[in-house]
Amino acid sequence: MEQTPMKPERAAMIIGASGDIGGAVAAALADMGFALTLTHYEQPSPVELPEPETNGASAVRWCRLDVTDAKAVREVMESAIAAHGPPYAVIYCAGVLRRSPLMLMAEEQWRHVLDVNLTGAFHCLQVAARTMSVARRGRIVLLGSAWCHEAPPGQAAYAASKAGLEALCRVTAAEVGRFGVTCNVVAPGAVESRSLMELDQVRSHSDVIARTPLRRVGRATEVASAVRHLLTEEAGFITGQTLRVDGGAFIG
Amino acid sequence: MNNTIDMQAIYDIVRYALDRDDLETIDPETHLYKDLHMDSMGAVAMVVEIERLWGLRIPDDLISKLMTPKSYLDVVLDLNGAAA
Repeated sequence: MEQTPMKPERAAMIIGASGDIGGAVAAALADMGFALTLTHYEQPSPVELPEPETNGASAVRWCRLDVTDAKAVREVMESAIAAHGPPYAVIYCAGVLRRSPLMLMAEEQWRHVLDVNLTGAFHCLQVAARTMSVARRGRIVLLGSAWCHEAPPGQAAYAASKAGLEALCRVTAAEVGRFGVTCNVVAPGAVESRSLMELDQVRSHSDVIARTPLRRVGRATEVASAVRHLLTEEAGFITGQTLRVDGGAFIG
Repeated sequence: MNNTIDMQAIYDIVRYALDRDDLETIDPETHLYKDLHMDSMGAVAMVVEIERLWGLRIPDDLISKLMTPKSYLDVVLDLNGAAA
């Protein structure tokens, strides 16, 4: 007799898992035993993920998602809930970089960056916050950027969106805390990634390293470790915070 | 709190939403906003608790129209009947 696969004990969603950091977060959460729903916009990440035990249920699902489409976000998240049950963790890693001096920036470019980096997070938070609040448990982590406190020229939209993400995190934390849900930001500094190449165009790589107390750029796995910690039992009293993973580059 | 859908259960949810375990002066027509000073965050707590207890999702566009315990009970009974 065919058995209905059991829902996994813990499920997570990673929105925007196809980038360097998103892929590292996916690997970290798979290692923790989460059943995963991962979203991408163009291509899924090539990162190899260990398959957690799930009694037959598919442990890793990839879905294409345009985070700027609120209806699509709701549908993808509801499909994840149907497949794996209410998520214990939702990690928002989706983001775009478009470099342009403020005075030359097309409005379309400004809107696109804000729509993906900030409004997309809002779309996901609306579903995640409600589902987790009903379940009386959950961890939300938003990928911010330590660069938003640095003011990199050419990145007005990016910096504004990431600063907005921190404010969104704090308000979300204040609203859902009573239901046992936490919300935090992990804010990477200079991390080996395709995005760093774009962000770092105005100064040399060596300049960034020289101003970093730890004298190196970070690794995507180190950012993923910070996310991982925020999902542990031990991090249950941390909420509304921004955890910078920047080698100390922006401490003063 | 048990899972029976009745006015007492709604009163318990109001107390939970307002963080007022001591609240006794409440009846079906008590105005949650004018009489008990509930705000939108209280309304959020009401709908989340209703969904948690009974698995019923109150449509978003209805929430701001629910002003009294009776209006909440009516909606919950309606949704429960539809779900059955």
